Amino acid sequence: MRIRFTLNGNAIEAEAHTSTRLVDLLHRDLQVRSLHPACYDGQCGNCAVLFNGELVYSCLLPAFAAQGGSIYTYEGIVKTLEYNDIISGFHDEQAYPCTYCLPAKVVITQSILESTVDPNTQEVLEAFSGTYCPCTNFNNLARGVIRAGEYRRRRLHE
Amino acid sequence: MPDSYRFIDEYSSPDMLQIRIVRADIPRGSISSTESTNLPDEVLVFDSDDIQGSNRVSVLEEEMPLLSDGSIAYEGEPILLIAAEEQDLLDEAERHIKISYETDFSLLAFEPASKEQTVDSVRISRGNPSKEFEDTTQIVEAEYRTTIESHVSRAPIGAYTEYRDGRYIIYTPSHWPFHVRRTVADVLGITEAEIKVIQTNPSPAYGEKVVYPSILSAMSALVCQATGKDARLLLSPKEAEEFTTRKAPVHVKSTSILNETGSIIAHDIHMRFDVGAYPLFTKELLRRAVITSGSYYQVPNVSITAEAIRTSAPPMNIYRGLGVSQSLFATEVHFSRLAEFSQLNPGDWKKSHTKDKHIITGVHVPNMPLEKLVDTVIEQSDFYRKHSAYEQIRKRRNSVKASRRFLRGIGIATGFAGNGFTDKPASGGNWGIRATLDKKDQLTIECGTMTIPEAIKTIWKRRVGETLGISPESVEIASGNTDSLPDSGPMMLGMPVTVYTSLVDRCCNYIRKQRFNKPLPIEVRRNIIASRKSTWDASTCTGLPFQNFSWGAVVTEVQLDPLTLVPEVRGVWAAFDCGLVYDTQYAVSIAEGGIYEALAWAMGEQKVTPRYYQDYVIEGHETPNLRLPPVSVVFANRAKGLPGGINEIAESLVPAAFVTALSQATGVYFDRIPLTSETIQSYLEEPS
Repeated sequence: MRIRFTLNGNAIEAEAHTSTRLVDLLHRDLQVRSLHPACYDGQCGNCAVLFNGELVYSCLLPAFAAQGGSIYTYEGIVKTLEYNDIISGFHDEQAYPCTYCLPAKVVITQSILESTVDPNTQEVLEAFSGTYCPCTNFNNLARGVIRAGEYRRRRLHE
Repeated sequence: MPDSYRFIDEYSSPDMLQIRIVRADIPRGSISSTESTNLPDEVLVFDSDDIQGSNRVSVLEEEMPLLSDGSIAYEGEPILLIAAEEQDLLDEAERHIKISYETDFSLLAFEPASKEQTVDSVRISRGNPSKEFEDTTQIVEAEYRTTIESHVSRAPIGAYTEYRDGRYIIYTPSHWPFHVRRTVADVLGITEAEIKVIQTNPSPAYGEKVVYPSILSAMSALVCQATGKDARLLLSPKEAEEFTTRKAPVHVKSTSILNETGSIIAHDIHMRFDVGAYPLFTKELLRRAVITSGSYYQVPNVSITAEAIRTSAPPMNIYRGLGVSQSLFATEVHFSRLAEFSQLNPGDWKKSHTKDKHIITGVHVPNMPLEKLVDTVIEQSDFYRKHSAYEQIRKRRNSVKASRRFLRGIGIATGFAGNGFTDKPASGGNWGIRATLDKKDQLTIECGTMTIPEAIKTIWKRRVGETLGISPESVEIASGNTDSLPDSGPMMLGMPVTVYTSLVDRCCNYIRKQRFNKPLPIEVRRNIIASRKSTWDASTCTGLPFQNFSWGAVVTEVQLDPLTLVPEVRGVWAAFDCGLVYDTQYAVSIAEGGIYEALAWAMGEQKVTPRYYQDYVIEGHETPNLRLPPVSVVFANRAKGLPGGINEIAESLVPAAFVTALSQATGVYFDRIPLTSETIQSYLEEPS
């Protein structure tokens, strides 16, 4: 079936089988390399995307669910000023995700900061509870996200 | 994009063959027939007869078959490779392949195991423990167990081979690229010069990237050699978890003799590691286990034996720590139990053993920092007060189940982990690194493991800057492949942080001396050499076994809900001395990560994420309170010397402190990990 949606602001028209998962459409067919199809059961979080502004794990969605929707991935976020907030926050708190999970961590952080620019530790850990990677110290990560919120607030009030 | 940033699943070409492994579905036996009728024409099948060279993967002194040669040693052993351009064809082919087996073999179990299953053993002894055991009346016996731990890394693992200009180019996320080259050359029956290995992004790993990429590379190269086509083999996440690497289970039997005052006068430890069907790095695993198990405790008569037991389980392979965390767990839980007999506070008891500053191999370690580390964690955790208070409460309590309050306990564990191999394996080749100072005062360091963690690159740059008086920005860590870089051995056991750093130091010292005597550029290579030969005797396990040590003391406080029996960690206080630490904040971050992973292991959680530290509100289960246990980490910074590994010692001490604390909380001696609420329940139901 033909699926039309926007990917990082660009209109996309793609062909996908009804059984194709969104992560495979994005990673395999559309070459979105920041996503990693790994667990296919929403456990690892490495296929996180923003779908119509909501955080979703694209391995849990059929590709056809994207019809008419808007998807943002790491590649889209990395071009924005908002990315600078996130990376600055991570850097300040020594939260250094590895190259494998960094995109997912950035997407999840972006989703947190879109709902509140002043998150608390509980909210951060809840948002990250669907991810895992051996590189990550969640203490530093939580502090990094909170610090990123500070950068975001400062920038919005400038 | 550089290859070191790209993952192996990003490599492909239009006509590429995709490979899948057909695995044994019985745990032991032999293959009686293999039928592959009605296969799609596009599917190719390879077995061990298609191998031009050797059907063996050698790892130092040990080896295992690449593809089954007729016998099956574990469930999941590779038998065939099937290759096609489309995954759908491979799915169909799998359905058409029928393998029949002879199964008149008994399984090789871990418990009980026969004598014939012992692959290797290492023993340390001093004094005369057997005589003491004959003459005594007060004996403390205990058995400790840890189970298999699987890794949680989800980064892709595989290999991609292409044949270009008369050479096989292999892409794989290996932590030992030169082993990949050697293995592929052996399997294809060609020279190493005909192979180039390019490392792809290996991402964080638990040890699965040390040897397994060599196996996968040989398989993809085999298909490429037979067909002339590019070939790629990617493991599924399930295969990666089950077959690449796992922490070996251990069964430890500890017997100690105490005198009237509670002092230990003899100690016998017998460890048995389940190494699976094909053991690898066995000698190193066993040596590390006996050394860390003997630790720094001053016992006059000691016998410590570690055995590797071959079983019908998949090969355990090389897991981070290589036996240290399992042996330290058993030792520390046992010694905490013995401390009770001495009527001393466990903190004081541990400190009393640090005075002599000798370790089990007989070597004197003058800068042993344990007393200071123990003092630090005792003070920070308020250990004395809490320990006494929890003892009083426990003694007054009738039973765990009858308690209406959370049960609390606190435990302490101390010890060390060694950095680097105990003994450079004889067949290891010349492992080393190369450094070149050019005419622009730029220093280039070449290391064959290729992907050096950023933190270690920073250490090297700063040390080079200090030695040669050049800016750290003038130091480059070269990228490359097996054509251009020197063989540096495997990236494991703290090699980069300690061993390679010492080689960088030696290269720089040479360059500093020659700088104004020789024209630039100056190139120097330094290999790992057995400089400690005069003190370390591998055959008797005496002398200085490691390049340096990472020391640690950890206190863990837990509380147990008497209703749900869910343990909760109230706090972890840790103090480490891992040699020179350049960036304390970063080191703390690494240590915290190791502590969280260790807690997950001890509490039976496979995945280290906040959701697994849920403190459920008992009334109304719908609201989990997500939080991480508070962790405090202190480093005893040293101004000079070599840096040491952090993660291994942080991970290794926490489980013992956790279990000891839980034992104090409940009054029940726990002797295994993981400890889940179900396990705790079963202990509580056992007659005391």
